Amino acid sequence: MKYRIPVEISAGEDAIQKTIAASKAAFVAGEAVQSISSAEFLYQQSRYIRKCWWMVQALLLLGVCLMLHALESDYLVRRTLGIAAPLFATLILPEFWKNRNCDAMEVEKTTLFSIRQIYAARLTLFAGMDLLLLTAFFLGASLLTQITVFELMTQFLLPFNVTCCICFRCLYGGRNSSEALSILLCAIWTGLWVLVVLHETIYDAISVPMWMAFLATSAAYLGYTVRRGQQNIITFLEAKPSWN
Amino acid sequence: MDSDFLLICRMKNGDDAAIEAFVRKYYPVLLRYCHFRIKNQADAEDAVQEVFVRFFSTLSVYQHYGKVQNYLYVIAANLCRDSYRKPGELPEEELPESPVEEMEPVNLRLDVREALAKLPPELREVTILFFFQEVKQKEIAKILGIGLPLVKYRIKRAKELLAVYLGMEEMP
Repeated sequence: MKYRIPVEISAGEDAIQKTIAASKAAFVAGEAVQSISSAEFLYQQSRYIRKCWWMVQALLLLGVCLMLHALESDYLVRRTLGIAAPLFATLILPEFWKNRNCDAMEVEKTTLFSIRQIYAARLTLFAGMDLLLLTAFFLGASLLTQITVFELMTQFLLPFNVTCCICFRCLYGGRNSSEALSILLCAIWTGLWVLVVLHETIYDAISVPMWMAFLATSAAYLGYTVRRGQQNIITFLEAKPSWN
Repeated sequence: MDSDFLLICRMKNGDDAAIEAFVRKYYPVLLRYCHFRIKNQADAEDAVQEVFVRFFSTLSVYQHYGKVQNYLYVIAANLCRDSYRKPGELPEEELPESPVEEMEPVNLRLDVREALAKLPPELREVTILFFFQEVKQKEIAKILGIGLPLVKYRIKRAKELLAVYLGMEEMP
């Protein structure tokens, strides 16, 4: 005799339908109970970010701070800040592009949280950490050197903002080669900026209100870029689900 | 990445079609398992529904490492052990519909069921998984949280007892 006896137990369609309905209800109820707070979500996302880039950023700012302390000439100070600011912004590029390079979008798309939520959380974390680092840098630089906060804002924050705008435009641009493109554009921007700040006639021709206007415009455009990118993120970061 | 992984990801994302596909995929095997454990079609259907409800209640924290079917068996085994302790006799009308010419296998099934009911619970659990659900011995060990040697011993012991209950020679 056959030892393993095939036994068919018929499953009624009504019972299956009831089970499907009960399963959906249980899922919704379970999600309601287990939803996490914003702080918990941020903490969860922070665990997926490599902290080494923040360390490198901090070291860069520390190095710049020490260089500014040692430098005498305004010319060199401007050049140092002009190069350091875009470099500071581009150091975080690998982390922003990590998901694309690792083809992780499909998995992220299918997880509980949307890509928009995940990117928003990571942007918040990056912005928070950069704010902390830059505050420490501004405080350190203004104490150690003769540079005023206004000079730091125009010569560091302005190129930093523009670099961030370039990076976010490329990130949200949807092209596969956007990481290389953003690095290229940042390099071009750095060259242009160094030319501007080192050209005395151009630099001196720009008055304080104009610098402030540039700074405000760059900050506003950065905010607009991030906001627009977050709104449209699904359309260009969404991977084609493989189950379809 | 197995097909269940993507299905579970879709379910975690709240995809109703994925939930339906998942239930339809595992409902028959779980029903068969619960039917052998509980011996009553209505109770077995209730038990299967409860298995899915328990699974979906904690889906957001579920980590897909092995086979999801084994995880469902664990839930079902615990549920049957905790909620349906009293073994009952299987009424004949509960047997699945079969054509007349298959009466002999039906009788055999009835005998097997009666023999199964006589087994001690721990042997019956292993027997159902191994002989009727065709789960591998290693997986049974994981599902029941016992060692592989104990699973092998229980299968061997169950074979001996079933042979006695069925009035057969030593089973292969």
